Amino acid sequence: MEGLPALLHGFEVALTAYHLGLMVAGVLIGILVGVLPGLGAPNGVALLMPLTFFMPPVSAIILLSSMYWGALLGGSTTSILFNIPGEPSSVATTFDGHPMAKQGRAAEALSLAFLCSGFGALAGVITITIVADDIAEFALRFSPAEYFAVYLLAFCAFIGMGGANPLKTAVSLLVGLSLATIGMDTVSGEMRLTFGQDELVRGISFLVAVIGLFGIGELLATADETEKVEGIRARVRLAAVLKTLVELPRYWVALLRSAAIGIWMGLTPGGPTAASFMSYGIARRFSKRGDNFGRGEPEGVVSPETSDHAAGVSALLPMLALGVPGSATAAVMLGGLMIWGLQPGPMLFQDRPDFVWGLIASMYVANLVAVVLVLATVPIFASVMRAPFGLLAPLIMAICLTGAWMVSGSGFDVLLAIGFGVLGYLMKKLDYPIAPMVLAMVLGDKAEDAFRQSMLISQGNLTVFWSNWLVGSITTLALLLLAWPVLAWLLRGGVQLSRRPAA
Amino acid sequence: MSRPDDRLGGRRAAELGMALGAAGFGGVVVLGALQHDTGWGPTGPGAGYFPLRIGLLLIGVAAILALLQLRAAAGRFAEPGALRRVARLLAPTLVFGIAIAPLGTYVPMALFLLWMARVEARAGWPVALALALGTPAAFFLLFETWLGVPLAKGPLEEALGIY
Repeated sequence: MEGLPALLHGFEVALTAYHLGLMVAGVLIGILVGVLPGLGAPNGVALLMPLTFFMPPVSAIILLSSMYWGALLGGSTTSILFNIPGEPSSVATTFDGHPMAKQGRAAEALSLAFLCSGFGALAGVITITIVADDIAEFALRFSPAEYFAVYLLAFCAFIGMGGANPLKTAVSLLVGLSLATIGMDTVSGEMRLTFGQDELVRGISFLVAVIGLFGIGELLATADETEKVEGIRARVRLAAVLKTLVELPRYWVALLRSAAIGIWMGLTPGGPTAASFMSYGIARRFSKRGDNFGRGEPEGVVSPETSDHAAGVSALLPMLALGVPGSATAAVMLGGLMIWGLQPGPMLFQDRPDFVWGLIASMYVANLVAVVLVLATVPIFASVMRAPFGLLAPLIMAICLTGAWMVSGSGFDVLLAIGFGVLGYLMKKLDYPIAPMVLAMVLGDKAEDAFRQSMLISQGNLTVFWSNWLVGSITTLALLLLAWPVLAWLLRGGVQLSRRPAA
Repeated sequence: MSRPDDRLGGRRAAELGMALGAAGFGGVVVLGALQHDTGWGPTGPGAGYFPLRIGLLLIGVAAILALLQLRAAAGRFAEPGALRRVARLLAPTLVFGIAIAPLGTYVPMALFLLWMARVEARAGWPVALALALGTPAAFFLLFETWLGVPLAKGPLEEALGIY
């Protein structure tokens, strides 16, 4: 195994005072971002991105990924104390976390959530450490056709497995792909879809889109709701944490099962949100205390939290090794990688081992730092939530607009972000998923390039996507996932039809 | 045949509008793609090949969504008063956004925060002023002084000689 020396070298990169400082800063900003409405992990990463352009890529990715871990934990905090998920992936945590807090077991619920997050993250990083080299080596055999098949798989997985209406997911994806084509064509140099507008020549920045869709859209959606925020005060004492830690092994079945689900959903592009829901659903079905779920059952906190973090962490591996992000936040980071001048993919593991292994090593440290910091600072960050939304919303709005301006110093981008904000609000209200659009915007150019190169190699013959067992099985799997909603519907219909005569 | 809930603010109308909007965007993409080579060019598929097919797919999927809406149950898009609350956040934001390019970040930000705090949130003068003056000051210290990232400047900054 070549992983160990590489990992040790990674620790040398990650464990400098500068990088440790970045981790602490990233985690603290992340918790804040996760707690505040309108500032989720994808949006937070997008807002910080312009500040990382002047850093070495390793430092930049350590800052951004640490922020991601912090945001995931911050999202769980508001789920438990306020019944408001700070992140889509912590929605499932509200089901049992908030009832626990209302029964006066807030400290227990919080420590349980954070410790399980830590366990899930650890399981994810260990998996990455073990399989990273193999996946990168495997991906070295990819030609453009395989790459296009993998992108297709990512898109189809969202449609078939994303949980939202498949047609609306498809619309979201296709709009994202269309937006990605705006600007100069990378192959021919022609200006596409600019209709003579100079502002569009650079294309539409996915950072601006993310700030609008996730940030401004979320703020508008929150303004739409009237619900008063009624939080539960909680202070987490060391004794409560230690008590929970001692009790943790009791949930070993749920822990291992949820970690496995999370890692799988992170490696395949299912994402943390789907992972936490799936894990909660499976736990409720198979747990001995399944009837207690929804009424403050600790296992209902353990399962989604473990999966959420296992998925969030493992989503970074396909991003690095294949250039296919497993979550919306990973998609934003992937875009960042390209801005920093790195080419995601298997060659990254050979050309920039310091970057790859520095990041992986930092994930061990940063997740530990994150769990400790969040346990220590919960009361402070929870008090932020008690600030009136009427004052918080304009402040966050100012941050979002400033962030949109910083992307390239253009007033057009600011208006574009507001436009995306209105679109994000409408999408949220009408249950259109937003993550596929961001994924498509980041991957659109790469997918198109891969498609055109494959077509060039095969002289326009589409059978290139079935020309060997590897590309053939990926393409077939992608099409099966795409057809899955229809297949599932037919299967269900078939079962009902066959049952009817018997009844 | 129109149901009472199908007026503006009805869920079905909103769903239909969104689907038709997506189809319309697909149409724009197709029109844009047709200005380029949509077939086989000297370097493989032409610049319009991919967008044309994406646009056509988008029109198709959005049309199915729109057709499905004709059979959907009526419902509310937003609770009464919700859209007004959204507009009262969105409209000042839009003014702020438009003002950034000509007037710089700081002055519009202070006015925006003051308006939102005083008029919308009905905060007292001390809180409103602290928010409206403290935030731009904090932004200046954080971005310009500490991180060295310049934000938009307007006539006031120029008059004060701040760059």
